[in-house]
Amino acid sequence: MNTPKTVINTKSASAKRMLRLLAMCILIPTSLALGVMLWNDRQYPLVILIITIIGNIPFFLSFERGQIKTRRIAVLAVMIALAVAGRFLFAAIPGFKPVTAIVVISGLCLGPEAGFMTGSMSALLSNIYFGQGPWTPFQMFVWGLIGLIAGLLSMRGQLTKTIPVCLYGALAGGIYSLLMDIWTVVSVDGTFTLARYLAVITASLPTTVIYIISNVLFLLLLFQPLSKKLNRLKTKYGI
Amino acid sequence: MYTFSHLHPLSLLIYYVVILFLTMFHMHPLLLLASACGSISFFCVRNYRHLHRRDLLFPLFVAVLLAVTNPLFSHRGETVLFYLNNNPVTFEAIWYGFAAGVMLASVVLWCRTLQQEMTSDKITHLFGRCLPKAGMLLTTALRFIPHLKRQHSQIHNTMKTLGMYSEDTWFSKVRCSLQEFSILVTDALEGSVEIADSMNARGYQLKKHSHFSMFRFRAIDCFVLLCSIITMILMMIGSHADLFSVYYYPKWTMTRPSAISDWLCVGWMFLFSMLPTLIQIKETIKWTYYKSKI
Repeated sequence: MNTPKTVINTKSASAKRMLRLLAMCILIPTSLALGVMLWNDRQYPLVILIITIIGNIPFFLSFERGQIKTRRIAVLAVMIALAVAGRFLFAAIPGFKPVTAIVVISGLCLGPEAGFMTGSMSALLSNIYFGQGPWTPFQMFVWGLIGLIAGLLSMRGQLTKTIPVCLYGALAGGIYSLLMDIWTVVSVDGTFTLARYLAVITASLPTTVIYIISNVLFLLLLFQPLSKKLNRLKTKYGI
Repeated sequence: MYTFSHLHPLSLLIYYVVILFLTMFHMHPLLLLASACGSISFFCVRNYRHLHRRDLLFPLFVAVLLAVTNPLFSHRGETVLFYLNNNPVTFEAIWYGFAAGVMLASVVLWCRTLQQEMTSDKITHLFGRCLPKAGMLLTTALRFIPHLKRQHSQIHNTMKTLGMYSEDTWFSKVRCSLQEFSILVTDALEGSVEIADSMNARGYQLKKHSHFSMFRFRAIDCFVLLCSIITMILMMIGSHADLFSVYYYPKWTMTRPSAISDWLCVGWMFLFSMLPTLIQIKETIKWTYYKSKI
């Protein structure tokens, strides 16, 4: 069996997801307005920080509320540990890390919520070793979203073959790097300047390219075997 | 000996949130100076046993680097010093770059001590209290990392004994390590199901839980928490009363503290950033005093 099983899309689940999206749509503009009003001078880093923290909250709350089996928690923990341990293994090469690949696979095989949790928890956990800071919520949110979107796409039946999955991984890697560079610029200047952004992008170009290549490489190598194992686990233990 | 790292995780977290807030969102030179002093001194006091010269040169390096490079990106400001390739290099741009560099260096130093203080047990404690399931996920994953490492070395040794890795080609090495990875993942996933069943058998899914933790909320925790809250309120008031407003472009202008209350406010910020250092020094003195009495 090469293709991961698509998760059955029930009505209540989709309603929940809509609610979550709605909450994000309301909360983010509110926080933006708050950030601009409280600090009359625009403070972009603060606004980004608030947005990413608030963006994380609905997912964590729904994870807390939902009926999740203990077995599922344990499997998710293994996926997170694999992502973090992989980051350790290749720590010597900047940008070369399998985290995104494992987050994407987790989202594809275990569903969007699992994808989000794997992504954001891997960010939090690996930062225990690699350095926490104000960028942690940002990383948690972006990696979580990468897993979430992978899960949503697999629910719709896309992203079942290796090639599209690798393309998605490359895209996710590129977008992740571009977003992280926005954070770098904003935390230096307090505002967003295009000239510095372009300079930062150029400076980090080698790392970005390595990152994208590593994503594709890891997905090529890991997608089929890992999804096979996860699907087997699903049928064997009913996770 | 209750040093800064023996504080309750909650007060530790709140302190770091407030101090990072103070550093990142104020470009007022006095506040930057306060934060830089606090971060450097705490970093030195905390790591005085193995302090390298590059740790101390690093903040200076970042500040100078940004002061030099900022005029390349920004040509705003009205005091033109000289022209470089027909682009004006202004005093304001250099000064802003220096200030941003000091800010960045102190943020990095604060984060380095945060990294040392916020150990995994504190993070899991904080998470476990407010988000039990996510906290459990975090704890289990944290436990799996050393487990995976151990398991991997075992698998590697077994594979070697079985005669893998005998061919000295790149291709066979990659093939063997992939096979090892596959074994590792299967083992970990199957093992995780065992763990989950054992957790259930011990009553993990029961409604009522009790948490065990070694952290106690002492008077000093209350004190640090109170200080953080006061600082937060002062920052709010200050930003509304334009106490710490500063403009670097087009001309550098900052509100200088004039009244005695303004100076008190600045002094408070300075003391607040020095708080970890003060606690650390106080405890060290106490410790050496007690030791000398033995």
